[in-house]
Parts: sequence; structure tokens; C-alpha cells
Amino acid sequence: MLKMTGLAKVYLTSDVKTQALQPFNLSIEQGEFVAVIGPSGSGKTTFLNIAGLLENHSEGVYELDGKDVSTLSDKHKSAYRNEKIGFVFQSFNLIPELNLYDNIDMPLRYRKFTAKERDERIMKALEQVGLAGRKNHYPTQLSGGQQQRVAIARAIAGSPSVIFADEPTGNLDSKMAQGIMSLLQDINASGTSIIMVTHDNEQAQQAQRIVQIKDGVLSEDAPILAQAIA
Amino acid sequence: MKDLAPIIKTLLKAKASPFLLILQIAITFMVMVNAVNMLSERSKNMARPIGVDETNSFYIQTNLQGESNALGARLDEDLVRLRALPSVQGVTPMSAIPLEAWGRATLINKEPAKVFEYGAYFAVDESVVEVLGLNLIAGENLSVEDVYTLPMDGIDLSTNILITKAVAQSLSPDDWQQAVGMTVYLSNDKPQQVKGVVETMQGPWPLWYGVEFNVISPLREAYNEVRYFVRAKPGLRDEAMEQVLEALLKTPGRMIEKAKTIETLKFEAYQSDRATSKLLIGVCLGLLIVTGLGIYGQARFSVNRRKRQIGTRRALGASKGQVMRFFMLENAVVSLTGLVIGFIAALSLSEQFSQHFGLTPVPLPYLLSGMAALFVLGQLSVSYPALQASRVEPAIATRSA
Repeated sequence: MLKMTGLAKVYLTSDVKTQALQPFNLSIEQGEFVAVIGPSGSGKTTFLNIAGLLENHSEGVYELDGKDVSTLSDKHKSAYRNEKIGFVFQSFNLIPELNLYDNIDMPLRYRKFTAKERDERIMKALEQVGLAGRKNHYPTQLSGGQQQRVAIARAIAGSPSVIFADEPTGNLDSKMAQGIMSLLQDINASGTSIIMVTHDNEQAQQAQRIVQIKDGVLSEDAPILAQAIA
Repeated sequence: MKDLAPIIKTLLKAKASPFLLILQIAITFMVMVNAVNMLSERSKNMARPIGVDETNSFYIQTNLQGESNALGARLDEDLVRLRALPSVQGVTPMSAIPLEAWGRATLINKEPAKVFEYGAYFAVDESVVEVLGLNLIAGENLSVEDVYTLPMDGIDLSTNILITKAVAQSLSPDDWQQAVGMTVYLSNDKPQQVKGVVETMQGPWPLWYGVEFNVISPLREAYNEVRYFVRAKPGLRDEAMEQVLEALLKTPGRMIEKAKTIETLKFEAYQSDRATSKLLIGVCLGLLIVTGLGIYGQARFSVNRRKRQIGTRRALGASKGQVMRFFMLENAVVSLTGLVIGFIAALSLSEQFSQHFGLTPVPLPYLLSGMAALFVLGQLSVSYPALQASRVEPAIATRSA
């Protein structure tokens, strides 16, 4: 489903060259739950941005669902993000002026769904995260955990192949965090791949695979997780 | 248009900021279309023909000396001397000059003591049509036999008169030519016979509603103050003016109160209108600039405030074009709301101006053109901030808040 070959990221300014990610190879199959761990500034978010088509890589080949996405135009990349990828952000990134229903509806409006189809998808997603009764509430009327559930509902409403979760429990207490992890496990169980960046050792252990990034070097061999996590 | 519903919901939720912008657009539109309408009215007023030969004519205001019973002879002497000048085509004494802001108002009644219409009264001699260059369009011209010489207040005498077409249309709305031969009564209720109709001759007060309603009476008023309307031969106006002044000043004790070309007179008559027009143009331009900057500033602020939100939209699948269209559409919604409110307000203001100041109501094409212009201004003002919004990288969504 996701294949990265010789992928690297270099940031260039007028006089400074920063190698954010050293060349690496990585393959993730459909339905896998992968945790990406590493200390702050190691390159986790850069990896997530590249994998989620939010940022371009500097070298290598990136294939998503068998298609090389390296050379896609902005329009096509946007369409790819919209149809194949779901995002869950650490700060939820909900639009405060829109209620839950409209927040989930937002990415669906960029696709050629009918109003009825959109409504069905929104309500199904809200039911899946246990918030169907609060569709008319605004994000500020919800707890952090509930807001993250809305963000997850927004991510799954478009039936993506993969969900990229960036520290999805970073702003939540442990009880809420566990609820979100359970929800992600359930979504993964239905066949959606999940790639989750996290600081949390225990949460990383719940994934099927763990990828470690340290000083821009990506590896899958992470024998002592406690040391890798800052 | 996919974003229309969320945009409206967002604006309804945000309230204050869009409301202020809507208000600004509405006020700008209301003031602008009414100001443009006023400018157009003034422009039309200034372009109206006086009815006389403006290019070759001038007038002199001077004095006649002697006992009152000798002033008629002094008048004749002046006229003979001035008409003999080689550069002069004609001279007529006038009790007032068009647009001079000095003259005599009169009632123009169909029946004695029954107020029908107001206008201005001009006492002249039989050469008035030829000298002023008036266009006689019905009836007959004045003749020497029609003319009387009085010290003043010729209005008290019954005479044959000429009237302007505007008066004729008022007297006989169905067929203005039927006004010829009618008897009218001026302020003193003395009957006056309409002998002819001239197309146009404006009265003394350019801003008065009755500026086109004028009565021309063949009465030479030989008073100690007199106005001579002089028409020079084509192209010889300045030369004629010099010769006329020189000729008049040969008379001992002569005082020249005024010597002015009709072009100057007209220019001065509308000086305050021109100043007001410039002020209105300045106000309109100022309002447009302030509104344009307001829209730009608000959009720029909105983009900066919502960068993370824009990044999230991009991350969730919005293309650069869709983000740009989102902001353009948002402005279109705000602008159109402001313009609809402004449209109603402009009509209301126009109605008030029409009722209280006699202005023509703002025509529909002005309102529609104003709406289109302000809509385009809004879209132009928001285009750069919208372009900046489209350049927000989707990766900003993953940055810490």
C-alpha cells in the first residue's frame, strides 16, 4: 500500500543545508498499524508530512497504492489526500465556527458525493465515535477527548486507505487517551491502515510495528523503546 | 459554490467582523450612488444651454446720468453709439442678465390673482431675439411698435410678450404652441399677450427650479442703472468689449459697474457647483479607497488568523484553487449582503433627497452599476489575501499550536 524507496528530506536555505531525514526504505501493507517513535526534533513530523503528502520529499520514490506520487501536481495531491488519506492531529484542528456535522462534512464537500451520501457518511462516522447525538454541538462545547473523536470521525468519513495520526493523544489525559487508542484499534480492525506518531511507549506497544526515527535516521529495529523516547 | 453553506454558517457565527464590513460596504454604496447621481445632475445643469450666443456675447452694467425724464434720451444715445461700433453686431438694454443671480421674479398666472407658475421677468427692447441669439420657435418676434420706454417697473404695463418654451408647455401642456395668443397675468395682474415663444433663455438664478420659466417684455427701463447686452461680430468679442467700454467712458461721470463675458458669467454661476462636485468626487474616492483597504485588511487579517485552519483544509483535500475560491466566495457573500442593504438604504436616501431637495431619484442603472463596481472592488481587494491563503502549506496543520 505504501512503499518508500531511498526517500530523503533536505531543507535548504541560502547558506544552510539540513538533512532532516536520511535516505530510507519502508513498506507498509494495507491494514497495518504502525507506530513511529523518536525524540523531539528527530524527524517524526517530517516523515508524517511526507507520507501524508503534506510536504514533498527531496530524493527517492514514494508509491501510494501502487502509484508514484512524487510528481503529482498540487491538485492531484490534494485529491489523493482527500480520497485516500485521513488525518488526526494532536490539536484536533477542528473549525470552531462549524458544528460537528459541518466539520466532518468539510472534506467530503471536496468530493463528488451527493448530499444524501454525505449525510449517511457523516452520521455513520459520528455513530462510530459515539457522538451522533451531539452533531449540532460546536467544538468548544466538547471535551478534548470528544474533540479528538470528532477529528477521527472526520478522518474516517471519507473511507481512506490510511490514517495518519500525529500524536493523537498528546493533548489528552490517560483515560481519554486510552479511549482514543481503542477507537483507532477498532478502525484498524476494519482494514484501514494506521500510521501513528507518538511519544508514548505504551501506546506504541499497541501497534503491530514500531518504526524509530533518531537524528533523521529511520530504522525498524527498536530494542529498547524507553531509550528512544525522550 | 460547495463552500457556500459553510461560509454562511461561519459568518453567522462570527457576526461582529463581517457585520462591520457589511455595514461599511452598505454605507459606501449608499453614499456613492447618491453622490454620483448628484454629480450627474450638476453636470447636466452646467451643460444646459443658456439660450444665448455664449461665445460672442458680454454685458456691461453702467449708469445713466441726468433727470429721470432725460434718461430715455441718454439710453438712446448709448445704444446709437454702441450699435455703430464696427465690432458690435447688436446691443439691447436688459433689466437682468441670464445667470447673473440678480433679477426680478414674477408670477405667471392664467387668471388674475390665481397663482399658476413662477418665473423671471426680463425688460428688453425689440432687438432681443437677434442680439441674444434666441431661437424663436412659435408666434412672432417683438417689433418696434411693441416697445415702451419707462423709468422702471415696466411690469405694470400691458404689453405683448415673448415667453420661453418651458412657460408655453406649462400654460398649454397638450400643445405648447397654443400658448401663442394667450393672455397671462404677471405679478401685478395686468394682462400680457403672448406674441411669440423662444426655445430657451435661462433666468437669473441657475439653481432655481424656475430657471427655464421666463417672460420677455418689450420695455426699455431707462433708470439710473442699466445693463447692456452686447453681441459682438463672430470672433471679435474681446475687441468689441474694449471698444464698448471706451465708447461708454467718453461720457463724463460714467461708471462701469460690471463688464463680463457670458462665458465668464456662466463659469462663475456654477463655481459653487464645481466645488461641490470636486468635494463629492473626493468623498467618493476616499470612501472607495477606505472600503477597498477595509476589505483587504479584513481579508489579510482573516488569512493570518486562520493559517492553521487553511492548512487543515489543505491537508484534508482542498487544492490551492479551492482555498482561493473559498476566500473570494466569502468576500462575495459579505459584499453582496452589504450591497443589498446598501441598495435599500440608497433608495431610501434618494427618496429623501428627492422629497426635500428636489433631486432626481437615483436611476436603476446607477444602482446596478454601483453594485457591480463595488462587487468588483471587493473581489480585487480580496484577491491578493486569497492568493496568499492558497499558498499556505498543508504541512502547517501538523505544527504545534
